[in-house]
Amino acid sequence: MTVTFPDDRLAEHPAVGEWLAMSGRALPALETWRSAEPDSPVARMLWVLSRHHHLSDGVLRAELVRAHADAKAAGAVREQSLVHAAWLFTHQAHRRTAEHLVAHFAQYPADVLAATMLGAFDQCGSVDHRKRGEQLIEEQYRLAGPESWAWASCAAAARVEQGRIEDAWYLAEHALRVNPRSGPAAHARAHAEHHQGTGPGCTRFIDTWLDGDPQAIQRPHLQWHAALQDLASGDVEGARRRADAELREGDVGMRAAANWRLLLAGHTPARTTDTADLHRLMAEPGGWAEVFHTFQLALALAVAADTDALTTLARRAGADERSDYRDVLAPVAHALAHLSAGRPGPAVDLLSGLDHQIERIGGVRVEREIIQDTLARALIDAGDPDRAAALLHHRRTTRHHHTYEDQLLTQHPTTGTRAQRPLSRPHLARGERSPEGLADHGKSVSGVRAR
Amino acid sequence: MTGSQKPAPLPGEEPMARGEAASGRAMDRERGVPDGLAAQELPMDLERAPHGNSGGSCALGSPCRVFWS
Repeated sequence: MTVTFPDDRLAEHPAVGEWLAMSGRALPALETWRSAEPDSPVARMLWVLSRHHHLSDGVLRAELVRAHADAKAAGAVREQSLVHAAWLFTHQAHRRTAEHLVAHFAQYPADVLAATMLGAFDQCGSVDHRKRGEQLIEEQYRLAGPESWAWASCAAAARVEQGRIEDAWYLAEHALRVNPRSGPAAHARAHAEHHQGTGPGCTRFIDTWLDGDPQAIQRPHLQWHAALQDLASGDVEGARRRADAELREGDVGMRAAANWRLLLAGHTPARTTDTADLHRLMAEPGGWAEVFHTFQLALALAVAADTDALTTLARRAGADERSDYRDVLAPVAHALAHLSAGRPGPAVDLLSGLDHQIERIGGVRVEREIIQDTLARALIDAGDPDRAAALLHHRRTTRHHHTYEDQLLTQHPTTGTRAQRPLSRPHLARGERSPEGLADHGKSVSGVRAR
Repeated sequence: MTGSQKPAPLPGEEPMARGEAASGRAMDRERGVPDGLAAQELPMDLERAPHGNSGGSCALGSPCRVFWS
């Protein structure tokens, strides 16, 4: 199976294919490769890339220094460059990684061994870098040719972000025909289908695909996509079940993004993250590493209706030296604080003023869309259903299943203070069932039926 | 940005001649011609910046990136 140019023996190692496919066998395969070939710079570099968040600073640096020295001793320029990129990438030096990758791909066109570091362009915090990354991916796909399922998968994902939804779907399908186990292709198809609102069609695809590799690296995230499709087609209990069964304790962002949608649409949330954990994240540097990280944290605080913490977060964001924090995150967080306090009017004012600036908050279209959802809910709660309907008109007319959007436009007290909400069921242990009758059929504490 | 506009080059970016890649000249450099990539040493003074992906999973990062680990 071709992952790059036919004569690229290095990239033909089976572990590389597993890694690029994000398969359940990728991590053990890379572990085995590194052990079997301790002098291989690429084996060591990919091993580091596959688990760098779990490595201490000392181990990370020692491993990459060794890989770089081995590459240099062998006179292997490409490997030196790859390890250099990995050094920058794993140190979170996103702009420098992006700059290095541009030079690397100019020298080694369509080098799939560098592909998994392309996320650096998204993490730079600049819309221009993001667009440049998408352009670079398209260029590499053209150079690699249609037989490269890895580059086809990447290009499919890039096209979703460019709004080329149909193109993206067909390209993802093409990649899956070449390699049915390409996780990035399955992921890109899930993104395309989110915008198409395929509902049960998408959940069937994801469930079937995961049956073929239950340990796939992206499993929790694909299940998150499936939960959103459950919501799109009105299967609220299905969405909650997936969130509770599939998202891990540490998946704070995905859990918040699912639960805030459930609340916006008038439903009981799935299991939530403990408020103490959120406060801890807020106090740690990691909570403020990137604007998108802090945005996810704000969503989690909104789910918890923690107005005080949201206000604190918004003020700190407003004083941050990074303009995306000041100009975009601060008003979004203030809006969430207002909503959590039952004040939709100021939330409408704050969110309406952002318009296309929302792109600067990072993430991808699906992830940023939740801000539009929030504005729609705020407009409904503020008594302006016409503007809310206009805001979601495109989605309701282009997505086959759009029950979620319909519910966003329905009057019900949900996002406000705890006292106004449907009963929540926080902190259930994994596999624990909610009390009978609580989900979907329960009454809110203010006496209004939850959907 | 419209489809016809090209983003400004990033620092260090050199436009690649399309024919160059197709002809394999870029790959040929790997086999002996000294270049900037070969001369680069690892920037040892670079400190690892904090990230929001702690605790063994993607706490706060965007798992929607094409490759996520």
